[in-house]
Amino acid sequence: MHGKDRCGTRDISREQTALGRAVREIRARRCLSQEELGSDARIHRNYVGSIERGEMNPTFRTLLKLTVGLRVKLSDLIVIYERQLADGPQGL
Amino acid sequence: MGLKDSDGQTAELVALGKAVRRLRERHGWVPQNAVCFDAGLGDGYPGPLELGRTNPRFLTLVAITRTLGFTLGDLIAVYEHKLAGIDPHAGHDAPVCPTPEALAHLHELNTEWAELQARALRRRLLRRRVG
Repeated sequence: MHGKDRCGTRDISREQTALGRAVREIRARRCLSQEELGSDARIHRNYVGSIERGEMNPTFRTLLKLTVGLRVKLSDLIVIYERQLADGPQGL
Repeated sequence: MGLKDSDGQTAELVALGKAVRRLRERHGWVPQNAVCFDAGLGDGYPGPLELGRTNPRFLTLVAITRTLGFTLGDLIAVYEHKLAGIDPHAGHDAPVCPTPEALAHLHELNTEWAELQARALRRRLLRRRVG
């Protein structure tokens, strides 16, 4: 599954970007720094940063860890992700 | 988080697997390997996924739900429903707090981002002029 996701790379990085923006948006609403989110979610802060920049394709468990740190339900994160996706690249 | 059993499965992954299976069912029982093929995944991939034995990546889930004609939101809604069935104590419903400080922070992030973009653009223009 890892390397094989690259069907239509452009589309896909758009999704990662939207996910990253959603994480950043909720983190900002929670007034958390990347470091604080990282320690709450038990993820390295650099990894939080690269997810937010849309450079990472996190696993499902990592998404769950993020929702613990952000104190939202996964469905809330996905709602914001879908909004970011619809807003396009100039969304944030 | 999560109940772990001896297989290394967690309640969350089992619920996710059930949700994927449910969507495939609703789509009219597409064969598992057809789903993999259309989603650009390896052969036989959803098998272990539906059993909760793998920890799929974000884009894999996007590809699978899209292939089945659903959104990621649909999958996660079913997932949360399934998870509540397996583990009623899962899920967190903390209140959202959009405070003024948070909004200010978001604004700051946006400004920082815009600045970075502008700087990158300037650098690119400069390089073009030099070259």
